[in-house]
Amino acid sequence: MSRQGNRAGDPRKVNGELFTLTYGALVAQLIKDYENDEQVNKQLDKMGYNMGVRLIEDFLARANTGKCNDFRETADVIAKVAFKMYLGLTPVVSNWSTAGDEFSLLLESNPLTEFVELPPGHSNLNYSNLLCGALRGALEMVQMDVDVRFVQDILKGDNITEIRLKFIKRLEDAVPVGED
Amino acid sequence: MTIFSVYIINKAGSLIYHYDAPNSGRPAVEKTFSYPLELVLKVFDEKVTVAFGERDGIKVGHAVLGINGIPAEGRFLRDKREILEVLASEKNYPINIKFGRPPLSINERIMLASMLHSLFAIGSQLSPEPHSSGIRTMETDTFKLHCHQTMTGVKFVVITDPKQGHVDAILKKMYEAYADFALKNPFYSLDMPIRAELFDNSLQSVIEQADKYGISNI
Amino acid sequence: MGTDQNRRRKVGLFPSKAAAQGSGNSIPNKNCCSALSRTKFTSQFSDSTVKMTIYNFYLFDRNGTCLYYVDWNRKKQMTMSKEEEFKLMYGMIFSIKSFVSRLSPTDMKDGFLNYSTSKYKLHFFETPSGLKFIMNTDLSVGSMKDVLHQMFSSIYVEYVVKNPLCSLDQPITSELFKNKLDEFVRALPQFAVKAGT
Repeated sequence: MSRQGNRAGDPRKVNGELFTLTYGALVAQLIKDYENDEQVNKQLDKMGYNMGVRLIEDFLARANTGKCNDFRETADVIAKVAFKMYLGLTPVVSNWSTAGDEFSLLLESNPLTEFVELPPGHSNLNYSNLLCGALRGALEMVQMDVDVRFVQDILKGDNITEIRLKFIKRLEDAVPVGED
Repeated sequence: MTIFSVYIINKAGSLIYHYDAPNSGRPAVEKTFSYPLELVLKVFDEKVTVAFGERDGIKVGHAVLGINGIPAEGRFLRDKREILEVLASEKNYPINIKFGRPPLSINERIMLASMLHSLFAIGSQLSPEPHSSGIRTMETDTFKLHCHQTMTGVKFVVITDPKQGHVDAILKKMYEAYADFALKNPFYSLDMPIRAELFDNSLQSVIEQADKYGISNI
Repeated sequence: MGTDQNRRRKVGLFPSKAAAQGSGNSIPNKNCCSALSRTKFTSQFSDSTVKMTIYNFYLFDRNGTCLYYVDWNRKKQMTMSKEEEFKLMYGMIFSIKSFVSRLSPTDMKDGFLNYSTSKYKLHFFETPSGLKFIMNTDLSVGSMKDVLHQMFSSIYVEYVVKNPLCSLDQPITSELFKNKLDEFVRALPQFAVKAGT
């Protein structure tokens, strides 16, 4: 349980490996419980989403970031503040689409996959799909509908791990009054 | 530094948490009366209230809070006797009646929360300047209301003494407590009333700290 | 009656005076700008970004009729009609009054005084007869209770109540009242605090 107050200086209270192991056990169990990788991906995304919709409040309560004016600013905040705060790393923001509504987060390392070797026959599994769900959930709570998915994964032999975010629309109905 | 109460309102306008400071009790007046009672009492909103005859600190609008030490519950006393009947019969006199501003029932609080929710929206709509937020502070002669809406639409409302300046630091601390002890609790469902002891404690310690050391030192 | 005659004559004076002032297209007030500072002023704020401190004013009677409305440099154009806006404003004030009286921990005297958003501050003053004076200013303005009270006692009472031609439950059409109110507000220190500096 995190204590209030002295948190900024020491963001990781739980042993990181315990966390990695917990996540690994979770994914392994899901693979056992579900028929195929697609369904596992879906479950991970759902769990991530449920985390994201809660985590965003924690983020807003602590990070002191104001409102983002455009999607580029959002990308920067995600990479430089949010990832730093919760995973202790800073992905590179790149591969912007010309319209500016799509970008990639490039991760050179991923704490979730530190000890993982994917067994054969799981080429469709997105092991860290929880991250996508969490991003989607968090952004939805600040009135952005965003599609998030893995396009490259070091785990699958790619050179780098790449998460692609595509802005779909602003959720106008959900915008709280006085926050336009 | 005096905080009277704290309210948390979800993005749909429902009250999900409220807290009253223990020392902010509404003042009450106790007095012994002899028959017949000079005050005119009426049942209003399921409470026996004074309709006429202000005296000795008893004001129109005050409700009967208890008789001879037995607390009132709506129109009845705790021992199930109806208040107006008790007061009508001469054999019960002299009688000691406690008057005061009626305490807010949970239904009234829920109503007030949704009222604030819409007032907040109208305040933004009626702005003479574009891009105005909703109501952030509201001043009256007896209290000051501070309201902070998060980017996700949750409102944190603090009622303080009218002289109290900015309470932004407290509102922020409360938001942190909410993020920690409500949202990180896996058994708490979003947008539902918060019933968590850990959250209660943490909120109380924020308020106590503010009381003890002043707002700037939290 | 004699004084009334005098006042009536003043009405005639006003339009010409206002026209003379209006030609310069400089809204800010004559009281705080000397000739020197006025040139400085116009050069600095030649566009329409002049930030005034008093936006608008509403006067409602006890039944919710909007007796008078005036604005000074209000930026946001409403999507609703004026009638709808007045209804919404009166409704909001009505609800706020009931809201604060229920919420108050102790018995209230004046009740609701003002509220602020990120952009403006609404000041409220109600007479025991139920007239509601509402003024929107920017955030830097302090208490306007005395000002609103003065608008009641020295403008409304003087030029509406004492004018037998004004009916008290209809929107005010008196030019004299209009001019006096405008003159009063423009002379307030709160009116041009930001525009002048």
